[in-house]
Amino acid sequence: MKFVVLGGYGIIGKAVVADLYKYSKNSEIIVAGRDLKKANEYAHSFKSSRVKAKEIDINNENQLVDLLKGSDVCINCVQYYFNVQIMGACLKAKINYVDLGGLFHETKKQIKLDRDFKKIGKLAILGIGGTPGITNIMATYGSRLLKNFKSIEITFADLDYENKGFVLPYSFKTIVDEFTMKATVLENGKLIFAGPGSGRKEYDFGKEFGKQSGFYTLHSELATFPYSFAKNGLKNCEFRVTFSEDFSKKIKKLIELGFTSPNSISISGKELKIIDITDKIMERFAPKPGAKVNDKELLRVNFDNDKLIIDAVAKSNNDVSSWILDTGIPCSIAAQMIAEKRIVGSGVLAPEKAINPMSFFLELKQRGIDILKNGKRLK
Amino acid sequence: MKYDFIVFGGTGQQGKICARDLLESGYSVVLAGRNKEAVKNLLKNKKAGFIYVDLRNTDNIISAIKKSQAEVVVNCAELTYNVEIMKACLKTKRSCTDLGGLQKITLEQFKLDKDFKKAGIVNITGCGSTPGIANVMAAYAVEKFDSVDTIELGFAWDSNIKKFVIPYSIHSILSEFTEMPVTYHYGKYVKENRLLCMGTLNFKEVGKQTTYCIVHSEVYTFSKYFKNKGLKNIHYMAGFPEHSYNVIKTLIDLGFNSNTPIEINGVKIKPVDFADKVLGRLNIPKGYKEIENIWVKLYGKKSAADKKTEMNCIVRTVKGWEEAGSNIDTGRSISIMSQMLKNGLIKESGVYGPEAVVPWKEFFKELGKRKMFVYENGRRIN
Repeated sequence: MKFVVLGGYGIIGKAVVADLYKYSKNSEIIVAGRDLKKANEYAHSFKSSRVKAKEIDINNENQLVDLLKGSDVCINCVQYYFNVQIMGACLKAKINYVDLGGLFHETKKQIKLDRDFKKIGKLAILGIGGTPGITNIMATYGSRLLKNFKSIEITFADLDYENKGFVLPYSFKTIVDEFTMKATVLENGKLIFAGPGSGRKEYDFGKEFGKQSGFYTLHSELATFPYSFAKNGLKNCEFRVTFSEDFSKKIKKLIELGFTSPNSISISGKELKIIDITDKIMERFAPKPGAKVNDKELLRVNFDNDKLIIDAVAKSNNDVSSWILDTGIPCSIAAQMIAEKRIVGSGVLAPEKAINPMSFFLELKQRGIDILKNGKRLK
Repeated sequence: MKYDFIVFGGTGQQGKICARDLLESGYSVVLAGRNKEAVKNLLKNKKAGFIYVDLRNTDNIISAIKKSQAEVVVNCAELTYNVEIMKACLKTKRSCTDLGGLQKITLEQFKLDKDFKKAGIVNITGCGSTPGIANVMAAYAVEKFDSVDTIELGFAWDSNIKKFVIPYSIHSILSEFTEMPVTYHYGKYVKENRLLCMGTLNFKEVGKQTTYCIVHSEVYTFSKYFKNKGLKNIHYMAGFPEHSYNVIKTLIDLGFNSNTPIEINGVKIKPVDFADKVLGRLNIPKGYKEIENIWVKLYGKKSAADKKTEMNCIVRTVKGWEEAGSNIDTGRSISIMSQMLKNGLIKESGVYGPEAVVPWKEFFKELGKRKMFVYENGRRIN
């Protein structure tokens, strides 16, 4: 079996590669990205001929198709802006595809490639990280228990025992998008747009995670849930992110001051986008290898106002944060399930339509991610 | 063309204010900088000229001074260039003014005192609001004491619209907030814990504000010039309104004050320079007005009795100068002092702080003309 992980040395990519290496024993794994030095560094850290590094410019289609040809699954862990482009290359290379989500709008565009993937008999699973990802499959699980329900609320909570201060849980650019783009909410069966940061709500996540405040944000679950669960009677669906007040304040300040502008400024005679420079400066807040890590993340899908609550709880492991693990691991599991033909079918699918909850939960459990039904751990 | 003044940093925030004041006072001015586009409005004035200068190149500085034939060099550039510009002044035998060098650079500048004396020229360092107005106010007040034990001074400001507008050089602000504050304590320079000297003070016209000790050049120059009055303690305190302080704090917390370049697409840039560029794009909100209070408090004795004096200079946004906000107290002060130098009101040679050489009466009068009002114990004196 052969997997290509695009952005394989990034925050999430690393966790995907590590999981593939550990659980897909005989596979070949390609760590690909534009920075060969970083790719080499990470690939060599496994001290195994199974893990190799490749330099790739995502914008060079021929090069990308060549890289992908002959592998079983392309695992896309780069910034979501490139999803459609990368799927195009997968179609040409005739291979399967998984990614970490398209923040609604990109997801919508990706779904349109369904027929093309069916034509080549391959599968593309969109948004199979933590959220979107585990949340989608928990929704399927809940829908099978309840059969009929009106509302789904999706949210998450983080707990950092090390209290490292300001840390970027995932891509800075995606966080900025979540703070600035209009959120979508399903209200009485209609998708409506809500202002970024609106819909504030206080959640009580129980003893350990405590109370955390959330707000609406654009998320790809909203791109598929209204259709996937229409037959169950779903009329209302909301997604809220929870960030600490200090974190929100700082991100909002940067946005307000123009540090996330897509406009260019001239530096030493070269035009550079402001957001790209800020992104680079913010890199220092990305998780650092070797730093002491002790944290937990809870992902929650709530049906009909507490009638049924499904949680996933991930713990950090050695030097990798829980929110990185619960995003990277599902992606790796899905890729392995496809490669091992444990998922059959073709076309472009959301996780809730593609993956069997029980076998997926079993894989999660093996890796220390528990699923809870109304607060009780599934066995 | 022979110009009266050459202004380095002439395309920057303070340089533009200073050049406009000089031009409106009837003098000819060469603006020396890199961004001609930034001063296209000023260049409409027939008495204004532009010379491209990269201050990182000392030869560039010397040739610009020679080319301008200006008698007086006005340095409104970042303080990191103070010493280089002074050396260029020595080579070309021109007197100069600048906006101050905080602690370290001020000390470097005073090392050139002998050379300036030998050359028969003067450098006045710290000719803005503070250092600048504050120093002259202190010199004025000190004279009325037999002995002065303690001087506290600083600035406080606020705006009617609580939106972030660059108060002054981002480079200076970020280093003031990150360098260890230095105070003069019982005759010794002491590095202070920033948080320990935080407090809340009530300011004339500005109101209640949180203040922080910061490193500033007055701590050094006051101890030098007011030694004969027995001065033992000097504390410098900055007061930023909360909305502005929060922005500065966030930028520092997130590392935008760093001087270590990052590389992107083969281009190197210091985060602090990038922050300066991005914040420079912010528009001043419509109707935005500032008020600033430059303050000096002196505690000592007169005729064996305890004496306390409070000096304030209150500066508001002035009609026609809206874009400059309360920054007029920096850019216009250095213009006034530079004019005094050119007109022979200051005759010394060497390196000085304004408190040592600037005649207060004429200076306060000029401030008053520009609607910057000086108060002694609450009574206006200009």
